[in-house]
Amino acid sequence: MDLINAIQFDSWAEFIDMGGYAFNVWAVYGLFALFIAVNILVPLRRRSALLRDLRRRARIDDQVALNSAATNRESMSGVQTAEAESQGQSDESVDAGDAIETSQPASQSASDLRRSQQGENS
Amino acid sequence: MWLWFAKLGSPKWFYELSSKWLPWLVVATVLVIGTATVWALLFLPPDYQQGYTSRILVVHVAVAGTSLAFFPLMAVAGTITLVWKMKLADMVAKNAAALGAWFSFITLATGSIWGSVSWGTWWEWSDSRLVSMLFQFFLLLGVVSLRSALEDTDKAAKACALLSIVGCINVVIIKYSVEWWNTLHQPASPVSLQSGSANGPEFWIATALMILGVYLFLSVSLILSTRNEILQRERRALWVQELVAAER
Repeated sequence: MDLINAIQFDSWAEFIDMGGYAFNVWAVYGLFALFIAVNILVPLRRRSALLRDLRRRARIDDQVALNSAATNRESMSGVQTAEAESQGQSDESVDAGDAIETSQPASQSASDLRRSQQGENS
Repeated sequence: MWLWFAKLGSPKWFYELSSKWLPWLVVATVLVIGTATVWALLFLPPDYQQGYTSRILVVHVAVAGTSLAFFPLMAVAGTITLVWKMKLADMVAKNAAALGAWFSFITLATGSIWGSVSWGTWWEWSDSRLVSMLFQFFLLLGVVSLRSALEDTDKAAKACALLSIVGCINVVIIKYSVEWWNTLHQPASPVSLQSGSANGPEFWIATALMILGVYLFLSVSLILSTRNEILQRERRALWVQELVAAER
């Protein structure tokens, strides 16, 4: 075939050797490959880290909405329980940081609960 | 016209459009760079003077030529930021600076590796092309560090926009350095139809293909990092929160 004949080398060894300039040619193509890989993989990794962080924030926001809804409802009905107080406290600590996350129950149901509460309210 | 312009500047619009285009861009990048690399490494005939080191130039010329696009790109984005305060333009400019520094570094490194054979030296301080490219590398690092030094996003955007516009002067210097000062670095070779020389058709077609591939790679990388920037800066926007919820 023409294409095979157009290959400049007769053997692998010749290909690797690059006419005696193996180091220079392969160093450049290696650098080029590294350069492309880094500038694709770094943004991809940053994306997954960002999404993880945004998901965590969304969970916290859900929990905050849940807590404040619960506190409001209970204070409106005049029932002041110790539980409501503790939720009020965690409400305040939200802006301070992520400590709230450890005090959360399973996060899965946060938005479901909120939805059901909204249903009750309306 | 203005509606179209406002839409173009909307991060949400860019994010959604790039989601559709990205897979195709990636496919095109892989195909073009793959073809150009195989062609360059397997099929390029050795140059009568340089031997197989002329293969280095396919990569070097493509990356170097593309690296000159960064300051004009950042200057256009910077002007849009200064005049219309378009958020998206500044996000692109921010990520272009870091990527441009990479391009400049790879240009210097590959050029150096080629020069160590063809010129017998890795570096020559008296050569205007080499020094002006090094200057571009430092200028781009300067833009990156200026951005991180200023905490106020708007102030940082304005300062970087100004520096990007001024930095364009250096691109002109790089481009014409080989003609104004004749030292070591050769001017661009005229396209030749004679087969077997370093500027023959096999060589410049491979190089043109590689330039296209490198531009495609540039856009893929820049789009990826701009999308991250959008998620970061627009994280309070409803559409980002819905998007995050959808990917949960």
